[in-house]
Amino acid sequence: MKLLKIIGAATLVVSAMTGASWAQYPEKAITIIVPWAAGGGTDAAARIVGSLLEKNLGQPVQVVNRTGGNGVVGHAAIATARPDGYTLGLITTEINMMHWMGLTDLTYEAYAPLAMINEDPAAVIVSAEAGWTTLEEMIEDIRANPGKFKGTGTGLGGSWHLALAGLLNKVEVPSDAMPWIPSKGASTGLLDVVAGGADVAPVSLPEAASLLEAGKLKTLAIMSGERAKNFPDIPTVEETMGIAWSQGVWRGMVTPKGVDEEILSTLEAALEKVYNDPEYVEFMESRGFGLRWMDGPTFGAFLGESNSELGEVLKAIGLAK
Amino acid sequence: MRMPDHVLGAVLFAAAAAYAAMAINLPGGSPGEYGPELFPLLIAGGVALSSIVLMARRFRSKLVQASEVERPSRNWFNGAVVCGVVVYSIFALPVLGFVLTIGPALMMILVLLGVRLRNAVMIGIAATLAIEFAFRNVLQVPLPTGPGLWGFI
Amino acid sequence: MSTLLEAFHLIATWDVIVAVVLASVFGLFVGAVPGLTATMAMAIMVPVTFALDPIPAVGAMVACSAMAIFAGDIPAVLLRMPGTPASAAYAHEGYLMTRRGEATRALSASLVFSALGGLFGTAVLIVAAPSLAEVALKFSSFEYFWLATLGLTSAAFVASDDRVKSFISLLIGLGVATIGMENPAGMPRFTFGSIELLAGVNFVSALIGLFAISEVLRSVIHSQPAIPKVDLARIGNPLREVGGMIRQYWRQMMRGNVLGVVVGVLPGAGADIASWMAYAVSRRFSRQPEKFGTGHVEGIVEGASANNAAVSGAWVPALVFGVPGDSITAIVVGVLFMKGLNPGPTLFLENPQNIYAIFLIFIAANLLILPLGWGAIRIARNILNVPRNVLMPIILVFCIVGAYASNNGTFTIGVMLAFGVLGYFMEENGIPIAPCILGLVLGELVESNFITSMLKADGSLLAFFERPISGTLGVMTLLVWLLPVVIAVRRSARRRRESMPANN
Repeated sequence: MKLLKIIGAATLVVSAMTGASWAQYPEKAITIIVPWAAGGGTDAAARIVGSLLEKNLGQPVQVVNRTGGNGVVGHAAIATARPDGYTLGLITTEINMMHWMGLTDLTYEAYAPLAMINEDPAAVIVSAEAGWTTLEEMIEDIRANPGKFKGTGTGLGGSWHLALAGLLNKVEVPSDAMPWIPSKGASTGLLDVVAGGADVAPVSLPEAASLLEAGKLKTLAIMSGERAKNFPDIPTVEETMGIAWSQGVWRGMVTPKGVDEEILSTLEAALEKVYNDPEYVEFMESRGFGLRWMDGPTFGAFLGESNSELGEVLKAIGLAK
Repeated sequence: MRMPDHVLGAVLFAAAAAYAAMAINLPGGSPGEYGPELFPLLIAGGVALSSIVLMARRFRSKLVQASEVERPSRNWFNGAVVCGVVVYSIFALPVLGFVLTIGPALMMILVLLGVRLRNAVMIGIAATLAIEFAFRNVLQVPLPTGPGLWGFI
Repeated sequence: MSTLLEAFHLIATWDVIVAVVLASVFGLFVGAVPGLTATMAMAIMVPVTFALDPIPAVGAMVACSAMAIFAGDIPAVLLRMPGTPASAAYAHEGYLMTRRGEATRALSASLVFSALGGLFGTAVLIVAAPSLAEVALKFSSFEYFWLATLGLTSAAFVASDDRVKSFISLLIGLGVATIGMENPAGMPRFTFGSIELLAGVNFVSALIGLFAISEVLRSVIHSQPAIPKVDLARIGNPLREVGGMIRQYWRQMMRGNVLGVVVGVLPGAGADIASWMAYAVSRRFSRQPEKFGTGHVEGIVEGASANNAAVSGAWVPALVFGVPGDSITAIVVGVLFMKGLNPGPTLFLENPQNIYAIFLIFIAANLLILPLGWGAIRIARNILNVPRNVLMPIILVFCIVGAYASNNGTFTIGVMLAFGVLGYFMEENGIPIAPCILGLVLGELVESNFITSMLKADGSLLAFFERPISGTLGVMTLLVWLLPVVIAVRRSARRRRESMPANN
């Protein structure tokens, strides 16, 4: 009897010391790391997820921004955090681009995927005064006048760059036909298109919403499988050109690899509840963000496919190292 | 430490040369001729020119006056301690957390600067706890926690 | 008229009033602590706004940012440690006034002219937002290049006695700004393999290091002469002194306000650039330029007006087109969307009472600066009476915390220390640190706009003069550069003529 008690006590002590909580997870505050700046779309998404998770899990959830290096700093911080289930991360498309460009060795395999919670497809946005009325016209114009028309909307090799460059690649327009003007973010790029400094900014619709509404810009097509809910008049690339092409930025929740299976399933279930929570839906729709759900395993498979796809585009435009 | 202008010029010139050397070795970016080495080289050039001007300056009388008027003694030890505390906090914060790192460090510096031990201890504890509370609860900016006693230490 | 009344009803609720007041106090605190910036205050407020209704949420953000930009002046004047980058331009000047026992005068000036600047900016916002936004939309990289270059040129006017060393300081700032991956080519420069440096040098940490840590180091390494204690009994009515300043410096105030709004309206240029340019303009066109650098209030008048005017001005593109005018409004735009107050024409046309409500809150928030700021000044002045050997260590702790909080990591603390040591040695050798900050702020703007313009123009330098606004700015900049040279040449020619004996 005494032996059992001793063993029991020892187990308790050992498990307390190793910090593996066989007891109810979560026992203390959870942190979500966001690789992007406060106030931006990714940060806002993380905060709403955080506040809803807090409701579901009953522990405080705090959001921490680790910005820099086009996302490298934050993504690395997530990957190297302690895999005890108390540090989560909101990762974005850039994770599949960074290592191709030689910025880091970090790949999607450093994480245990929990869920994808959002995707914003790229839209081909041009000045309202541009002569083109269809996507095809624009592409043929680019083909006929290589170097004349400039694209912008993000840094070199950023998601929007790849979205349009990949499309051009698919229709066999050489990559230098449309030089890319790097910009700090979509806003700056869109402004440039309005001011006449560049010709097309293939960014997401929510980012351009106000300027579109003010009649300064127009959209030729959206790179997605289906039309956008908030902008039902915009044809998809497939509808207007017969080519299936979907690209955009996505956001998903992960933990560093090595977290306990039980904790992972608790988190996955909680996230599913968050995704279906009307507050989340309302928030995303009000910002015009695209809702897209993938559970853990699907997300993991998607990450692999997207990684190879983006790698090809980067090689085609000569940015892969 | 104060050094005469011509020595300063030499130091800056050397720094500019090193900077330019690193800049030249940058792989040229894909767009056009104006690459990532352009601006660094311009900057290095500017510093080099300016440092040549400095090197050409003699030890003007202005300088002699300055060193007479200004403080004769420099307490490098204190300066080193301050730097040391900052370095120590870089490594200790993630491990010990804010309260355990900063509390003792603050008390130590206070004593070093001549504050009476009893006051130093009181100020150290009070200030540390006040800052911790203000940041964590009022400002909602989480400061690092160490072992996790009472949820915040 | 009825919409105005509706708007008034929208704001005259306890929600709004409490939110605005609490946010103001919060902004005051964050702005006044060196190491915590106005942008950080806004970022912290974002989750708070989740729980609020739209109008109180926006009101809180407006109030917080206006207060924070003013509050940064308090430590700048008292301790030479700017609480926000926007106060860095005249921190030295204000500190010199403190050393002369004129801390109250400096702070009162900052208080009143900040409030007036904010009100001016609000007036412009109300009257001319859509038209100004249209002009802002015409700015492309060519225009921004000239603007940034003009900004750099203002460093020449801020120069202290030693022109060469000021130039070196500026170059050091520009050089540091090249570190990182944030350049058009996306090429990591001078990062030595560090991931954290990929983002470039963290600006807030560099600021704290250069101004605050170097001051702490100086304080412990040398024995500082004590700052004259402020005669707390003779607080007086700061408004009375300021009445005289308004009469004397109204031209500077207007100039600062206009410059501030113009710079603020342009997306990407905000309060910090505005205050620098205003201070420089003030010095350049002052009737008493020799007083600058000795503790003269004129530059503070103009600078404080400009930075608060810029904060209001930054809302112009934000409200009209959803394009942020500076880093503060970048966060605000996000909140506007979240609350369903989508920026754009619909905001103005379909629910004008919302816009009017926001405008009313702007006015209230800027007026609120006066009582709250005055209270803060009265409390803050007591800091001067704290013995240095207690004050400096506590400031050191705040700096470490601020550096940590700026990117939730310890790397930035190291950056802060490096800049602290650098700043100490620079000043020891007569190299002013102010131009270095300017270089840090503007370096990326100048370079990226130059290179992207070149990309668009396919390498032709003439393109910088082809677009109408760009051409105008370009000519202006060249004039600014060449005019002093021309004047100097003519002056020496005249002197030579006068010294020649007259020929009969």
